[in-house]
Amino acid sequence: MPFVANYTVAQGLDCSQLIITDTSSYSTEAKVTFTYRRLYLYKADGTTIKFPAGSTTDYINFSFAGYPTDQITITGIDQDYGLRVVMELNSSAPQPGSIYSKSSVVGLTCYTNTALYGVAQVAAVNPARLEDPVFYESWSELQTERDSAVMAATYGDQLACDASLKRAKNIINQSALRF
Amino acid sequence: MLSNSTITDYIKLADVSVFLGMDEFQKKRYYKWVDETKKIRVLYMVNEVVRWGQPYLVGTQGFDLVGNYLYTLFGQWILRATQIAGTGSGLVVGTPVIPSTTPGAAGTLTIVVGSVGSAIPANSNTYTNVLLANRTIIVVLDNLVLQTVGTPVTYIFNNVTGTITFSAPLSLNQVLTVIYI
Repeated sequence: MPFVANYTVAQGLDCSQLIITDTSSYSTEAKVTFTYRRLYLYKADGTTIKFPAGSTTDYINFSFAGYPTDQITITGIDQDYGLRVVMELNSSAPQPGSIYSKSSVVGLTCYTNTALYGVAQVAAVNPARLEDPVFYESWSELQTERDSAVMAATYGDQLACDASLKRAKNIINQSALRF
Repeated sequence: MLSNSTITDYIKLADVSVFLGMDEFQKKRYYKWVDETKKIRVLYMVNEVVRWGQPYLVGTQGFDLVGNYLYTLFGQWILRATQIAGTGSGLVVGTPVIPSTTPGAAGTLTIVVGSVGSAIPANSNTYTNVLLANRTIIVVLDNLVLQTVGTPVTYIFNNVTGTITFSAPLSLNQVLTVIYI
């Protein structure tokens, strides 16, 4: 069977972290045949997230030796992004039909979700706040931006995803006025 | 403290309540009654927050606050929502039919028994419609919501064939309404 590169991306409660797990099956091609495994986290403006801090390369070295569990936790995520995540492997003995690279758009929504959680708490404590149109409309807008970002990522539209998250960030930045 | 399974139930109930609320909203909009979009929107937003926080925040005071708020928001639909969501504590005892996939939009069928061209002849006790296959259904006969047990007329639903079999033959001019989700 040919080799097919695959991975999953997850965020926990700590929004500054991003967990990427290589879920490729190495039963079809052993890890020792690969000379490197790299990750590229492209932002919407074309730049990349550097990891570890201070790294000068565009890629993140997701080496088999450094990450034997095939999982890497990238830290220092400072805001929500629409990212294009690329995992690239280099085989010393490429097999016909194999796919050694995978790319997908991922919407990081942890900061937005955390803000939505905070707003829901405000409403839960004081439901009368819903009568304040600024409060309600702002909450609804923030939710819409989050939903749009998720949907855009699903359809692979990185720019739309990132634009939604930037608008969400603007709303969050105005929390003192809106909520 | 709200347990993880309670939160799972709340999320299911809220999911169904959003649908039920939107269904009611469509009717109210048609008849120009009160507009409840805000409440349904808030229900959706709080449910999304609870869904997001469930893996991390169950058992915390703040999450209980939001979970209980969610409960108050879907309260008016809780009986019907419980029946549909199958959380085990509602009108239907047992496991309701949950479709393995979502086949399409929800809808309603209304049939007058024995009328000209009716799909249900008088004195028949079955109704089959492929639209109902793989669906969850609510069956209403002459404004009475039928259950699989406990109502004067009960029914059995085969969700593979889309066949509803009633416990008694239906009479001429009875109105059968099937809501499918």
